[in-house]
Amino acid sequence: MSTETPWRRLHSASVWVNALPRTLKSIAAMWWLLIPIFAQQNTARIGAIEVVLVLVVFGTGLVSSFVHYSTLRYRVHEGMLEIRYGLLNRRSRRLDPARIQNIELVRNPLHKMSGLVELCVETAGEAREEGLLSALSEAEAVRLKGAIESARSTETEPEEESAQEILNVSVMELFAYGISSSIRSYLVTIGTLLLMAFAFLYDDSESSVLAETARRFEGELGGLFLPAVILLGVTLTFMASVLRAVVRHWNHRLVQSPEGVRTEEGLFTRRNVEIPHKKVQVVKVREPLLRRWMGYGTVQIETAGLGSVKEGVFSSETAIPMVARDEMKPAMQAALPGLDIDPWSVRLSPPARMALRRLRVVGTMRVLPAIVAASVVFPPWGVLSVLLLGLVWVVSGVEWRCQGWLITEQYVVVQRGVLLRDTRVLDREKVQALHLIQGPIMRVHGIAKLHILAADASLSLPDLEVGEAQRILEELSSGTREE
Amino acid sequence: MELQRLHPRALKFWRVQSFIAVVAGVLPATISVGLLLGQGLPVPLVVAFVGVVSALALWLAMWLPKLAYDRFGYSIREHDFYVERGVLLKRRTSIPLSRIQHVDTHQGPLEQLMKLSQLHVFTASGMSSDGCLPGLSRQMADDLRDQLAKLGNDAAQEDGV
Repeated sequence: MSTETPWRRLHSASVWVNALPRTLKSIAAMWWLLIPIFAQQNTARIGAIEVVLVLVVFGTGLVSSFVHYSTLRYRVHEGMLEIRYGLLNRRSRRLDPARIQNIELVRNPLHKMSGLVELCVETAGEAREEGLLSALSEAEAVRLKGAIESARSTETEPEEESAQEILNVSVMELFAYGISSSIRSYLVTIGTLLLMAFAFLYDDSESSVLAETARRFEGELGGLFLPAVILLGVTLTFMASVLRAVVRHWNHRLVQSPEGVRTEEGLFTRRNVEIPHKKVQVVKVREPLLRRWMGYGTVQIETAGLGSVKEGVFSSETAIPMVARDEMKPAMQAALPGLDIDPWSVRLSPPARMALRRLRVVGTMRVLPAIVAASVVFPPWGVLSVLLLGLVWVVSGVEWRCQGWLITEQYVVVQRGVLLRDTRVLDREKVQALHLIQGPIMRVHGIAKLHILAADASLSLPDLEVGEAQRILEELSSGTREE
Repeated sequence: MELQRLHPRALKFWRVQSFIAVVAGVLPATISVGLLLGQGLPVPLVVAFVGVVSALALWLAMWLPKLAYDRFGYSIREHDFYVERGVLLKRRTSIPLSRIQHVDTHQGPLEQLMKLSQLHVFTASGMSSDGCLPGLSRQMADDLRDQLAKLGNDAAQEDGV
């Protein structure tokens, strides 16, 4: 007969640690209630109703923080994590530790000031349990984490004894990560600044400070005004990207333990994500062109975190922002210990020859309307747009050459992408379903596309001959547990 | 590999569905387009346009379900649940039996009238079903559901999933 495990409660300082974030949330949700107060011309006329509105907006966070502290109880009992909370709606959750995908220790600045920590657990098939175990003492968080882990596996050894740091991302690497983060954000910022500049220059009625400044600089710089706006856009985007990268990934550490992989990062809010090996679904390495030239890539480790949050499916992952080319294999092995190949040096199988023809046919069909339109609208020079066909042929060839796949006894490896090289590795044991798809053009060329689905992750093999694709479908379907 | 066919009433069900779509969607649209673009044109020409387009839509509504029915097949094999379907876009789906999480049957109003049922097979890969069999008789759907649930359970236990 099992003994009753006593319920535990949050740290008493959780009331004020949670009060500010909850107040900010309630302001974000109810700011519109304050509009009548700000709309008042005469502040002397503010009466009881306005005071009540302010109390409601600003007091809700404090009250909910107090209710949260007073009602939340948790324990690990009979191998299950039990959490109960709520005043009017009493809720009780029993989480099976075996279903827990990640255990994350989060410290925001308020946690750091008070020496507390938030413990987030995330399960497959459930939303992330964020904000529940929101303020525990560090010792209690470590104890609870240990209790959950020991409930998950009774045979694991204490992690601290054999945890090994795989890599540490330096500040300079974070700067490089910020610079190379997104070409799209550079383009958006530059485009927005150019639009604003032109709007100010051509609309004399606009008399804001920005408009006056734009006109003054245009007068002083003359022909250099346009390059100056572009340079400003590049500088702003660079600063924002670097700042975001430093705040998010400061002192990023990747640590491997016998049970799984752990990442620690963050400047103000320190995140500590723990993923057991058996919960890893897909490991992706993304190498945007600029980052690839620097000799780096970003490694993403995806787990199955499914839940009814926002769009329906909630994707969960942790990322190592900057991994040098020679550290990629160890970083991937930290998540997939059985990975014995290096996807960048091993010879990958190419797509079917006919896939190249399909790429060219599809590319031609895409540019053909533009060629016809240009030839009709801008004769005779519009006919030159036929040169686009040559570009399609060259780009298709490069795209085809950049695709590759490999199926080993344990893993499926897929690589593709010219500007953004994307390499994915999936453990064959994680395959949930397979779809082989053939459109009309593919049928003409005798090729097919194979989609492999895992829990909340997927990968597609490059276009293969239909017989080959069918053979792989049968092999993966029947041998998902091949030893 | 020999594939099982759907219940013959599935063809009738799809045809009724297509017919409703044509009557509710294509016909009013065709008549509206004919009236808008046909202003100033001889009335018989407009009527002929509406007639030809409507006849074509009705013919497609009868013919496409037949093609879809002929190309739809499924099989419970040693390791997986296999479904083949598609007229323009051919799709073959394989779900390893050990990955089946749960199996549902579902009946819409029209299916209830025609005594048909849909079978949805779910894995852990997402919120929607990975395998769907429409147009089964209720008995077939219930039997398949029970059979797949049992086979899935057995396979998962063998695999230790």
